[in-house]
Amino acid sequence: MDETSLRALLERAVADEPPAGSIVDRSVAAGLRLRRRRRVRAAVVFAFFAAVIVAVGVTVPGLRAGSRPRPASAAAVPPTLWVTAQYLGQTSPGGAVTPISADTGTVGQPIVTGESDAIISTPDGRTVYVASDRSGWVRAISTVARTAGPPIRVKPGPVVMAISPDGKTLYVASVGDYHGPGWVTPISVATGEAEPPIAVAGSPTSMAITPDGKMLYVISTTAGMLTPISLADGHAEPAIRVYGISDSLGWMVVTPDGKTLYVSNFARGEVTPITVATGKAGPPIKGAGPGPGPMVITSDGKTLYVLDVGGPARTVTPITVATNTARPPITVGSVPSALAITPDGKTLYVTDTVGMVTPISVATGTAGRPITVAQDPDEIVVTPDSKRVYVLSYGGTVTPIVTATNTAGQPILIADAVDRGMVLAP
Amino acid sequence: MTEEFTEFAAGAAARLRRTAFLLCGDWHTAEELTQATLARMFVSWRRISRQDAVYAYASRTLVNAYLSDRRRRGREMLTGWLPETAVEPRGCEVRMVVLEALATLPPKMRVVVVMRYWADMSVEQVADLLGCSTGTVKSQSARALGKLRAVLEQDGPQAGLRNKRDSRDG
Repeated sequence: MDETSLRALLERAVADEPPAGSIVDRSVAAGLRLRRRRRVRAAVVFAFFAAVIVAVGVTVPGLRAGSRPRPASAAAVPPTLWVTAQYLGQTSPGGAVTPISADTGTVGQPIVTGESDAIISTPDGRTVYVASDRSGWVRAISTVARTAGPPIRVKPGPVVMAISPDGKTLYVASVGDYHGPGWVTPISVATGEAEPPIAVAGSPTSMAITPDGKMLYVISTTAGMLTPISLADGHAEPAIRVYGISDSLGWMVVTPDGKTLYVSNFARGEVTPITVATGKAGPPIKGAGPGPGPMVITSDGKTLYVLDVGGPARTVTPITVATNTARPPITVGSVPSALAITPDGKTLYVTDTVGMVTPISVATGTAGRPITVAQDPDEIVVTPDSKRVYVLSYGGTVTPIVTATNTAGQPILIADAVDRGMVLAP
Repeated sequence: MTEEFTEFAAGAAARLRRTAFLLCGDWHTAEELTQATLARMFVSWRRISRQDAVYAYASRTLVNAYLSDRRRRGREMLTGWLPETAVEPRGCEVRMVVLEALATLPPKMRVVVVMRYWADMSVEQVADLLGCSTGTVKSQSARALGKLRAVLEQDGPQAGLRNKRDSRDG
């Protein structure tokens, strides 16, 4: 199906439109009501602030954005979920990052950053970085001081970030102007200084770093290329062509021993193993569904799980890493979207856009009773102790799940916002 | 002021309603979204009407209303795979197939598809609408096309494409 066919189908979908009611009259009436309500609300807010100023005096707090992060203390950072969100209800949406305690579920004060999308944490959890695709910057947030640093300029359109395993360098992949090359900008975590960007083939969509921190891989959607970058000297090696990934969604995972990189090829219905030492792509693995998408690998590196997001089967397929062969798929959910595995390797969790999470026992390969969460979940993280899972749903609702009982706790709502991303730090 | 707004709304309502329908998937909600969009525009009409891009403003407000609505009420429940082909007349069948396929897209990706391929907005306009880079709009479009292709070209959904060919062939 091409763009012309899609246009024709959309035209046909609205062809037999039922008669409309008196939308214009009702809109004017609703507009008048809305205007009246806003005036009343503005008067109440003004009266409240006037009272506060008279009673106690007010020092207007400076915007958090723009202030430099204070030095972090040596104390351990409590596990915190950081959610980037776009605020609605206005025509020029603003953005902020909201902390949520992973222990208590308490929502902290949002830190204003401006519109931001991607989010990532350093391994020690002391710094969280957010990237603004539209504005072309990255900001560091001190998770201890809870302040955002100044914007660090990178190449236009930063869409994905990765951090070296030693936590010293942040890598920011930008799509550039889309017609030219993509870019990866290294940034020193210690100084916040951006180093010269490295050109990569096409527009990057995802990155993966080997556990030894020696190689960084970048998938470029437009070019169908996988660019290996040697991190020792920041040198981009010849790109590896993986046919089909130009139409794909670009998921990658590296085995814990750093020997093999797996790329899921949504468009071709296969998973491609790439040997890190040689940079050679091995024979594609079939049998992981018609649209292989997100993947996770067990911490012992023996089994790769591939979630099919492109077909009617709705499956998770285990692949034996030693032989690169697919085992019988596990049927799951209705429209699965993401998956995660507990660090203890016991349970796999699969989110489903209809608003549920399915636990799968790794030992038996059987799916348990689905757990209801807020609708449209698209991010899932597991605490390092494997005790809790947090699911972020579209609309900014975070649902906690206790893994021992596989029951959902009280959903945590983040103001009137839609989510952009979530990270657990540390 | 009201007269000027009424004139604008009368001209824009039908297209906004169709756009809203492709975003949300049912005519009732589409009408609510259109009404909410126009009501918000009415409140700020004095300011908006001085701008050149009134229609772009309307699109932005509609998209925000849709995203906000999705947050509040959750997305329409998906009921397994696509509908049986024999139970409905062809027009309805194509509509159902397309709506089911659109429903598999995340909300923002659905906005990209509808605004680019139905509302005929440029990549730059959609980027401005969603507050992202043009590169992201292009890659989201490519992903959405890939996903829609995968969905529409499976088994039942082929009906949508077959019907298109049938009608073209006469």
